[in-house]
Amino acid sequence: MKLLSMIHDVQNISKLSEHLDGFILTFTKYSKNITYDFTLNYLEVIDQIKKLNKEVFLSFNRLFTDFELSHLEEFIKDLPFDKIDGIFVADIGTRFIIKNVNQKVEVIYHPESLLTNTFDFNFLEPDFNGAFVSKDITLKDIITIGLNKKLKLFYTGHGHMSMFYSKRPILSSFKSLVSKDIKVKDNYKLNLKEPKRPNEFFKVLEDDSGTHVFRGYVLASYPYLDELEKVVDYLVIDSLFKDDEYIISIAPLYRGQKLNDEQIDKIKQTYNEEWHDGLLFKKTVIKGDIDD
Amino acid sequence: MIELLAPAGDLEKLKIAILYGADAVFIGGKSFSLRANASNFTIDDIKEACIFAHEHGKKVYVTTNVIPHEEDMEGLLPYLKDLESCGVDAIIAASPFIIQTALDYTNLEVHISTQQSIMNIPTINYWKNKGAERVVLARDLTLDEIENIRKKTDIEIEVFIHGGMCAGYSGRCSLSNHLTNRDANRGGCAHTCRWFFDLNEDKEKIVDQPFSMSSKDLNAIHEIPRLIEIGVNSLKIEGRMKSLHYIATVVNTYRKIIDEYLQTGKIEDFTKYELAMQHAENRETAKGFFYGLPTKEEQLFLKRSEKVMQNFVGLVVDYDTETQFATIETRNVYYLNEELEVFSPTHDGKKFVNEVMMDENGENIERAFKAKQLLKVKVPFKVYPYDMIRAKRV
Repeated sequence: MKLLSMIHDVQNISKLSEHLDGFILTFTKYSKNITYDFTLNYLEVIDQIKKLNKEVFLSFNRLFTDFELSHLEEFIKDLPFDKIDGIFVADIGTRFIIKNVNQKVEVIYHPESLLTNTFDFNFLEPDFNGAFVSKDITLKDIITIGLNKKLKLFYTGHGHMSMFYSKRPILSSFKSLVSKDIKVKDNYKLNLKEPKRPNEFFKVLEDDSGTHVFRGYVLASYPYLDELEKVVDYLVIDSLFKDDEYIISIAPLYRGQKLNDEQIDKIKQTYNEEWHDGLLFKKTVIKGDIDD
Repeated sequence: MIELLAPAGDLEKLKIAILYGADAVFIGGKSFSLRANASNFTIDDIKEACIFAHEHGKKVYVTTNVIPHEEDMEGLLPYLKDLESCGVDAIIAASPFIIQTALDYTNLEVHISTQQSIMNIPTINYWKNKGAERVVLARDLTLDEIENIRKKTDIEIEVFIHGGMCAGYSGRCSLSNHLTNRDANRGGCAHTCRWFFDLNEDKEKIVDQPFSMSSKDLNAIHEIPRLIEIGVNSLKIEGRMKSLHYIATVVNTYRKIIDEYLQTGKIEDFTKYELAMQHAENRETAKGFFYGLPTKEEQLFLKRSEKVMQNFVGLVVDYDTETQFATIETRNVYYLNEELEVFSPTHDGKKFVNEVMMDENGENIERAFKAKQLLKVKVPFKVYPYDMIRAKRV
């Protein structure tokens, strides 16, 4: 199982590479939820990463209109495809735009919540080379899909889980409504609190791609590493809302290294976060009372 | 010919939708359908729905739009075979498992659900090449973007024109899953985006007013001519959980707009349609993404509760032309000597004063208040089964 994460500061690539197998590069106009905009320096950064013998993945994980896809098509014409190990897309159509430009590059489908069973996962083959299994299913379901997979399985195993992606600039609209001088765009400190869930501060972010809501708790799947390693080809540490030091602190857990309680508590305190299992052991239901 | 597609949560609503002007109706079965709380159709209901619809020259589509988990897969093929034998005209699906099973093993037409958030031509071509006959476009597109899509593909395209809007991309939202454990993509959406939250910076509340992601409902009354000119194949009304009266009102209003535009090439006066729609609207409406990114005008930050309209007071079951007594099933309170109005697909807006009203025993009564009670009411002109009786309510 390979370990991927994002980059917050290019100065840290070398240091990060000691802990990761590859990097995910984000772009303001084509990615949602960026940690660093590589639009102007991706060539140098990709070279730097390849010299470290690490893998490079680009994230074009927005949903695009045709107009936006034509812009993306122009942008990717200059990409050094021979040095790119894969491109993440959230929109099926993006795959075809990319393949129009380069047939060989691997495209990974990342639709957040849609891949919840083996059939739907394998349906993507041969159009896609890999896919992110849904973050909203149980570990048992992930294992079932993984044992029967026909393409590479990616899994976001650590980080604030994304729950909501809207094209709407909802925070900006709210700011306009309340006429208050608050910074809403790219403000990583904003969060939402719901009266019945007073202990969890759901992260909310408006960026160039729209409005996003995340769990306040951090999904930490490392206790189940033995099982995940059997089926997951790439595990992603999502470091949005964190920094490069965070990745360096966390990555050893996903290499099988044990941290003692004191070390883990220190990470949690430093980043003011709680860890949990997400939905790995909590099967969602279809009907019934709302689970408060 | 452009299609007006209406929702129906049960057989009665389906019949109403068709009688009031829908060209096709989409319904949910007991399996594989979102909107688990809608009163979904049994196979026998679906069969009856298809017979009724086809007798009227209309179509029935069945939503099989869940994104199934491993344990949800059993029973799909027999279910699809049942739908096929009922005469269902198409299924609306989002999961490749359901789509491919239908294409491989049945003759059912497949429409790709808006749960796939289809935004562009390459994605449309992907599904077309897989065998889909129609795509339901994402609600996050402008009219110009829809027009561009129409120009570049010959597949049937369906566009939402009225009703609830997901605040986020449909199919990609798991707020409900995480906050309530109810699975949004398997029919359990708790509408968490409509809840109120405090907006904080770090842990400090920075705005007194509650924050919500809720969207106003969509209302495309004024956009129908443009959508017809664009060449959209199907205009879809959302709301399988909406009331009988809501469906009748919304369907009938759009029916008249479409017909007027197709017959005259213009809409003389939108005001009457706006007023007609007010009988049913219980949430604020806006234009969604049709003219660009939504602003605060398209969001529903301040209001959460739905306004309950009580102007639909009775449904006509029968009419005796000799005695001029209509049998009316009570739906809301109404009174003797109250002015009432008939809302009908055939003669809209005729008024009468409720001068004689009797219960099942022939006893004169002054107030109708028991739900579904059958009363005899004197109506001085002919009315028909499924006509609706309205009262003025403020």
